[in-house]
Amino acid sequence: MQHRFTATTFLVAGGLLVWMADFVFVYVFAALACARGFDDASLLGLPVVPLTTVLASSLAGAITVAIVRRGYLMQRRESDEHTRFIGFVAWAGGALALVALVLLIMPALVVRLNVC
Amino acid sequence: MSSRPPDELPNTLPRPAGEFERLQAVWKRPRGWRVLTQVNNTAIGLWYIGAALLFLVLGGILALIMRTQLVVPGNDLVDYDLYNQLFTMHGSVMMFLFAVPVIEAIGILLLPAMQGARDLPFPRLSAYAFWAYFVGGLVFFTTIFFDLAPDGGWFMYPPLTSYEFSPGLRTDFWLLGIGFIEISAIAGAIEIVVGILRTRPPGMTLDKMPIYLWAMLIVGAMIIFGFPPVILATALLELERAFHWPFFLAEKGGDPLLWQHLFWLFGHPDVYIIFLPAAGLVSMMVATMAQTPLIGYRWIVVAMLATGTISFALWVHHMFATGMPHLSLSFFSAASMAVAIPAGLQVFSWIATLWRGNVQRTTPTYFLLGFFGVFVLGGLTGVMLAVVPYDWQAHDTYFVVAHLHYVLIGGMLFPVFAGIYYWAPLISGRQLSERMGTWACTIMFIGVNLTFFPMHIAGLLGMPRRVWTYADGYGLEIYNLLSTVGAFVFAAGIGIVLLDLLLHFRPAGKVNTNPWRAGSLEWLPQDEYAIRSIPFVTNRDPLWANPSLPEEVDAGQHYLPGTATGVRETIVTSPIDARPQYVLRLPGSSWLPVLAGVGTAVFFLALTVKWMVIAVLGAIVALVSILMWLWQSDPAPSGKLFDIGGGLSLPDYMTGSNSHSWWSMVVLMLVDGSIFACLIFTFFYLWTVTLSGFPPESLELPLIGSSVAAALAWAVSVAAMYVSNRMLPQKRMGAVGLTLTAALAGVWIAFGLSLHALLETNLQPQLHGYASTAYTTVAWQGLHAVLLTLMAGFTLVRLWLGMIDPVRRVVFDNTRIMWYYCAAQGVLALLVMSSPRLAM
Amino acid sequence: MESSHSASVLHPASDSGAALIDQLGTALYVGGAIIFVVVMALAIYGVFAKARAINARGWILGGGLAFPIVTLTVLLMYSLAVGNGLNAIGSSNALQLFLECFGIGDARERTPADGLLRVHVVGKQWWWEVRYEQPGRQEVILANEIRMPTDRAVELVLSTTDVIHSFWAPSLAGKVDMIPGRTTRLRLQTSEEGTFRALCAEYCGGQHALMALYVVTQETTDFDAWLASQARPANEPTDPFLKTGYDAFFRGECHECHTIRGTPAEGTSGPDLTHVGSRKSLAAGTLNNHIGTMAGWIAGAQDVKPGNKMPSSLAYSGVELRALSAWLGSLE
Repeated sequence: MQHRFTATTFLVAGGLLVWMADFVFVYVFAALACARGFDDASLLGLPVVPLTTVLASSLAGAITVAIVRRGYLMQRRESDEHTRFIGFVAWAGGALALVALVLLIMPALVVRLNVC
Repeated sequence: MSSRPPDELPNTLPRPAGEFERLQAVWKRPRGWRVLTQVNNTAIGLWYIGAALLFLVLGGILALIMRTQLVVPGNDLVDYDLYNQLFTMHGSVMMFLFAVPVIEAIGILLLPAMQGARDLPFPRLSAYAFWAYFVGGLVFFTTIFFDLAPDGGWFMYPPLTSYEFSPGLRTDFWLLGIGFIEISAIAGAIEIVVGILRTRPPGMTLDKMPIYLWAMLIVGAMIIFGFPPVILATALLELERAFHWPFFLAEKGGDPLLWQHLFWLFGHPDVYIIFLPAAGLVSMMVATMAQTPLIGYRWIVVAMLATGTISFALWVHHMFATGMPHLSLSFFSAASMAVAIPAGLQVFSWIATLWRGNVQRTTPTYFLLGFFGVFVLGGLTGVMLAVVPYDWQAHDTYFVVAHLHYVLIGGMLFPVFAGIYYWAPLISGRQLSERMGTWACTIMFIGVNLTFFPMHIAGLLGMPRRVWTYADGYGLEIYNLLSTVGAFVFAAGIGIVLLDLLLHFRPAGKVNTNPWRAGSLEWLPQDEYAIRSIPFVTNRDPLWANPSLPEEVDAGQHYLPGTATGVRETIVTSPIDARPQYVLRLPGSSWLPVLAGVGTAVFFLALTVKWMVIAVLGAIVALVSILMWLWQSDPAPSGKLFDIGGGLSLPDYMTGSNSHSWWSMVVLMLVDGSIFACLIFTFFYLWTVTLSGFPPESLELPLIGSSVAAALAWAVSVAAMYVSNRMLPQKRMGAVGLTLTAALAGVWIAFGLSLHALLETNLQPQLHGYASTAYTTVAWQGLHAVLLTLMAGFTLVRLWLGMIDPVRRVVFDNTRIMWYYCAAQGVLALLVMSSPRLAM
Repeated sequence: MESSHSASVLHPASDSGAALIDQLGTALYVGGAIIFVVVMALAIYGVFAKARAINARGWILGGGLAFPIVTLTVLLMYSLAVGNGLNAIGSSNALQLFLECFGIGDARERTPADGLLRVHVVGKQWWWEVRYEQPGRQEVILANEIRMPTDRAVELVLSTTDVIHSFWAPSLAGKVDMIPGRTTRLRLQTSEEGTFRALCAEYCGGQHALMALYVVTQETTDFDAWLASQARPANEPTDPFLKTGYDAFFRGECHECHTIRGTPAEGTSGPDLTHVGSRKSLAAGTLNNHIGTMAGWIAGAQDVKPGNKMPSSLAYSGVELRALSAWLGSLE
């Protein structure tokens, strides 16, 4: 079976890259909130920074779940050893990324905010 | 083409007369003083490792002087001024001249052997990287003898290191002197990444790569994205020092924390750049020493990928005490916890492998046990430092000194020394002394713990880092005494290893040995040409799967048993599936990389002391050598197909994304793009922290008319390039040359207009962070205009000489893709500079 | 210098931030030691025992994944809770703070009734300027010493006039950097009376090693009395010996850099000396403060602390030097 380089790379590292993107977004948003003074704003009655963190990370989680599913099916259904390996790395990397996402959400839920 | 193993061995016996002799002849090592012109990875790799070990010794001597100074409180062996130079040089030498070079050096030495290649795709680039590093590093080190060594710490925080508080040359030596190391590291990364992706043996798909290849591939990628922040940061600080362009000065729209962000955005991945290759070596050695395949191979790949990615989200954990909001810090704390998971995964895979096998109890195993002991402890204190409140206490104390030495010595030095004992027979044909090795390992293990364990306690008892002396009466005396004694014990252990190498290590030509009964390809019979023939890989441990492989390979029964094209060569395969694509003709010995490397080092160092004539001479020597070497780097395609055995016939030339050269260009553009991205980050970061307006109201924004015109000029230039590309297949060479020239004119017009947009306003780079960033952005475009001019000139001359045609077009293609990149960058720069208009 | 003042993470002052962090630290040391011993035992056993069939999946999923994930998740929660305690809310009990994350129990808000006492600390190469806000009056300026009451939280407002420094009193709290262009804050609180040493923790150039200060905690009444006395200006001495010292001060160049309120000395680049005699140390925690060290410091500033901005004053006669030291020592 032939594999394209770019597609394979983004599949294999996909979950982790999505995590990275979410991390950068969440961090920059919180930093901007502090620097520009909207850290104590609220949206729909919820504080804006934790809310944004949870929403963005949930979106990232949904994308990662899709990658995990794709990789898992690839590993289960394909017969070619190499393709199955690629599927495995994709889903296992995604699974680790999901754990990291959970860890990333935690500060937004636990940390008391009035600290800017 | 073939993705399945051949049904029978590709080449039959007996081999034709003269085939082996011709192979030997093209790979023959030059004699006499020409020995310096070697580019073969076996030579360069060894020199590279030797040079790195030399810097380990030099950096270690600095450490011993420091430990002697600290043996008692209030000691006056060295004064504060020398001490500050000593610790700065110790950190810089160990990180930039030992740790990073040695991991690249081991890669250059071992990778081709592990992947059955005759050499990596750019041997001269490796040679260049070595020479720039070796000559530049030695001269850089000598600054300590002339009271000119940097004294701002290896982290170089401004404003302490800016012009006001560090006048003089010391800091410049660091900023510019490190320049050649950065270039050298990037060159090594290009070589390693393209080498792993494109010169694997047929059949070595991703799932069959030795784990070390995975480690180095990930590390190569990390260098590509991890070094640009420090390249940019050093350039900005040098601009601030030399021309007073404010980037880190708070009162002029800069921010000292910008440096810390950029520096640690490099500095933290750098820790894993050093650790992952060592972890790769450990994985290789653990499996061999336990005589059983590595448990959890797939999980280790995942773990290393995760480590590589997450390591880019840890940088702020060096900045927990900067008063940033607790929530921001907590994100980095979470990421620091997350990165510990893959480390645990690897440790348990190794231990499980040791449990499953009967472990050979020899020196490499003992060093691996030492690695476990030291590294696991360092990892655990690392988790402690990731805990934000705890770090507020431990940060910048000897606790951190202890931690980082446990991690680096445990995570890198012990695996590398295990590797020295493990792989030495591969070069010299015989093992090092088992007795000396065991002693060295024991003494080093005692020494490292005696030196660094007490430092944890000293730190907690209130001893800050980077102090040339300390007060008595705080309980620090005994711990410092122990550390000093330990440092000399540790040094003695290292001395035994070096002595063992001196006594028992002699590179042999032909080597056929496998003392640890390993399963990986490097233990095939090796010579100057690497292995006689290149096997189709069907297994992760090919030597275990096929015990007769060494004889088959050495008899020439596998692919490419001689030289097909009559010069040095290796097989290029596709990046994922490892299908053979073409025979890459490799360059041979040459003075050019030596001259280019020395010229580069001279340029940077002479620039530091402002010996402008010598700097220019160095630059000219480097540039001319590089151009001459590039001139030879695109040999004409023969148009023939070469039989490498098994019915497989390969061309000797390919273009587009099949060309190895295209890949190196893409990697270079990624580095370039990362530097530019850091510059954009600088812009938006300063905008965010500057509450007084960015730019302040007294300053104007770049002229909108000139900016739009510059963007249009870029567009025209790209269009001309596009047309040029369309003309080439039609063999309308005149039109190709003409449109290329037009495209070049477009570049300079775009640059001129971008500059005009700034010059015609009241913006001056010395005034404010906005202006300095804007001018730097435009200067960066100017640098690329010069680069494109060189590339276009090179292409035009070759076009004129008929060295470019619709088939032989790699040079043209490289110029073309770099062109598109520069145009995109140029337009983006204009947009960014004008973006404050939107906020008005 | 000889000292028995506490400057250790391992000996925190009662009810201080450092005590809270110490509880966290204990959990880290114990947990770390257990993990280290177990992992090493497993590794050594693996090397020296005979080969055996193992459950590879169990090792990887159990030891390599489940164990670190669970441990680290709990640790992250715990550390964030302690961070809350140090920053915003909180009891000084780490476990209580941790449980509060799950809605169990109540970690009481810590907002002192009489508000925070605000003290400004300015890092300089290589000493500390300390300023107390005095609402409605001129602020009190001193150097290299902070005093605080034991029943109130103190907020240090940290800044710098040159390079980056970092304020660290190990027995009281974690450290916070002083960064040009920014002000940072650090909360100090303890119920314990005593003298605690603080240091500069960020490398700040030449004499970074000799940049310390003392934090003295005392009962509110004592503190109030001290602050009132610090607010008073100095008087021209009447004793002829001290007057000799006073004259020497102004004959030399001392007054160009130092201020002594109540006298014509109004220099600002060096520490305020109005009450220098009452301080515990000289040269930012480098020397104990008495007449002998004072004379030594004046005459040999560049020998005691080479590279610092105070020149060695070699022009004084022995008598002048003794008198000058005696007068400065009398400024309590």
